[in-house]
Amino acid sequence: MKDSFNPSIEPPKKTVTLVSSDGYDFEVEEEVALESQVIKDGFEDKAVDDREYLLFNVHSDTLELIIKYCEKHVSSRKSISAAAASSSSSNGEEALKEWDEHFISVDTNTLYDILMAADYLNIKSLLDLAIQKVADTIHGRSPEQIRKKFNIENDSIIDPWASE
Amino acid sequence: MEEVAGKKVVVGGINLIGEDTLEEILSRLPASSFASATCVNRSWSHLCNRILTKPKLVSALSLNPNLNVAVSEVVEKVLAQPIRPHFAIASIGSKFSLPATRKLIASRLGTGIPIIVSEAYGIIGKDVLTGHHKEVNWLETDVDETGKNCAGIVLTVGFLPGLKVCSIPLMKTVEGPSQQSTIDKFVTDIKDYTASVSDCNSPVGIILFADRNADMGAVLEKMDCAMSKETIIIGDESNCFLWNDGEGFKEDAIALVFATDRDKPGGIGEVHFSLALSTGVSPVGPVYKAASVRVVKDEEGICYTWLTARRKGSLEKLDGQVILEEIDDMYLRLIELVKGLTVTRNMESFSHHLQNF
Repeated sequence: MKDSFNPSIEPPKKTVTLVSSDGYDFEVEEEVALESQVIKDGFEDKAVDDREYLLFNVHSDTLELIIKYCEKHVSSRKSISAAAASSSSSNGEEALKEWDEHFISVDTNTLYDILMAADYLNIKSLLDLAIQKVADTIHGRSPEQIRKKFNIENDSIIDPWASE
Repeated sequence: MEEVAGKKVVVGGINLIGEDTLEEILSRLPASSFASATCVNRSWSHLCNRILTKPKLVSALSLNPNLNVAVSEVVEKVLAQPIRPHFAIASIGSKFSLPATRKLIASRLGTGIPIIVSEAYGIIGKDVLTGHHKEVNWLETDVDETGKNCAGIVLTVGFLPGLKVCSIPLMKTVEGPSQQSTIDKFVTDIKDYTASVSDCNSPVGIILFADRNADMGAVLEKMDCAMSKETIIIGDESNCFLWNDGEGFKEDAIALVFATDRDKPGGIGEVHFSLALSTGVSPVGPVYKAASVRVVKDEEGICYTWLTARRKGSLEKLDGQVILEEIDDMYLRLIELVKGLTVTRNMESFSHHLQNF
């Protein structure tokens, strides 16, 4: 998606440009970008022809994932509410949950990147997903296993809870 | 820190994540993993301690007829979040065995903390299966041809930073002079324990578990004289109970004593107890409604539970506006059980809670 233009089908949708820390432009639909509370907050203040956001803390690799997540959630929300409106049964929420689970099953470093980007951009549902994933990764490990998994140096003195 | 992990050179890794985010991650861990996380390094330990600075009481209810399953369910539920249990209190139905229940709980929580199991007429709590409020009153319901189906457990574990907890028994005696010396010893034990961990000899709170057949009048009177006015005494009068070191049924009462820890780490506030509770319900914790409260009438015909008797003089202070302001839902329905006749009346604030000031 790097440097790509997202050709929109009629009618042409409003777009904004997100610029990654390594200088790549990502043109995304307005409603996708607005998944980020930070962008949403600054949105009204910006002139219509100047809707470009420099995301100094988000690398293009991560930004691509983040956009993928936001696009999925925007479209899923639409189909879920459409299904609700026509009162037809839908497993949209279940499917989205599965998609999320698959989406967040990434290596540890990518997970940190997503976590920090979601925090920086204030995308609550994604931050929540990433936090839970890290918590799940810690779960069931001994202190030593946690250190190993997360590359943490042990500077602890003997801990009174170590026996637990 | 630089280490080679796979193909990538990791710089910082999880250390790059902000403290707030890491705190949020750690606060989602169940108790066992939280204990592991505490030992990872200094900054994790610091964060874990920050998460657990406030007193915490967690309780869960299971009506599973199988004791093993029921205990497993409630233990898992109460340990599903960060907590370091300082004590555990279980109320069970008469179908379950006290020693077996205590043993099962101890096998999960360890033997290093006071664990008190008592038999109740009914239990109230959050059902582990549904997450919804559930109450059972075995005096009135669940009686069929085969007898009473009194299977159920409420487990409450408490974490009280800045306090030390200990269980102290009051041994059974026959009436007479020896009874007085037993009571004296009980009160002295409580004060001695408190003095050994605190700068004063009156604990901040005592939860009493008393045998229904024991006459607690003299005990409460003695305690009233001996303890500071600041000491809150609450309790549960039960069919029978069992505690850690008890061989079983040799005690008239067990006091769960909460004393200020003179070595408590800085930054931890004072814990104060406010108020009192009843039988038949989980004796601590976010309590919802009292299903059965034994009510005693004094000479003037004023109703009070024996639990609050000690604080009779200051009853207004305890159940009054102060508490109401602090607790949102303090309307408790007390059911007065007199000669099998059930009278429902609305009373305010017969509960207690722990407050971190």
